[in-house]
Amino acid sequence: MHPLIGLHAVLGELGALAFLWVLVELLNPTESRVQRARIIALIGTLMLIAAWVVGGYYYVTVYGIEVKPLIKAGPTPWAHSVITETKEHVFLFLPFLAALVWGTIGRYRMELVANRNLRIGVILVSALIVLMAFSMAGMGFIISSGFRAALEAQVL
Amino acid sequence: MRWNATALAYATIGVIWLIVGVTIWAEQQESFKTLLASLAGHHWIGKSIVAAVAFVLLYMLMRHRRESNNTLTLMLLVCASAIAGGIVIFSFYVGHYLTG
Repeated sequence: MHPLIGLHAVLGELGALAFLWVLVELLNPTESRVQRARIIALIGTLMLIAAWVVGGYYYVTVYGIEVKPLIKAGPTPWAHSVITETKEHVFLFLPFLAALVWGTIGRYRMELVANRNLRIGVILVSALIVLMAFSMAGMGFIISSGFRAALEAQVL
Repeated sequence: MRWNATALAYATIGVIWLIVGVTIWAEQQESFKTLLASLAGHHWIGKSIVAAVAFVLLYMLMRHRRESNNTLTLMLLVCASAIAGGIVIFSFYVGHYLTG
């Protein structure tokens, strides 16, 4: 286990939790809850951008050189060919979805209290961010399992 | 500074489909993958840079648009694009793995 993987996962999950928090604040919004949601959405966006940078650095400097060849030669090559490839590209949607939520809350602010449709729209995108970020963690588990299976196949 | 939420939503939709297109194109055309890699040393960083620059450019191009009266529909379009884009990328790599 490389420390950058842990950092990438922590940043990503904190980003997911931030947007879960945003979602909860907007379920029954008041002026102070919208203000809080805006700040938390900014923090969540920064977390996801940081997860992007850290995960990208690990992917380019460690994973591609040390991990990918082993997984591809192991018993579950699809863990890289399908799961890693999907994860590394679908992840790219997340920072932009996060920026959209943060920007929309900042644009409308108090209108979110009165405008139910607007609120539902922001809640839906926030929920999608949470689901996608947790699915990234699930894919990370599959990739780690593929790596472990490859190492076990070498030892046994 | 107040963002234009409609422009942000359109920029997000545009970037999602750009990522899908660039991802598939790079797998089909080795020369395009090499071009992306030449941007920053690795094709994935190249895609990241292209996506970030495209998001900013799309937003700048559309930031003077009137705000949509139907933000819910726009947000639903964003969600549908993200889900469909994810399914397209996953399906592409499943097909690529099975036929490769």
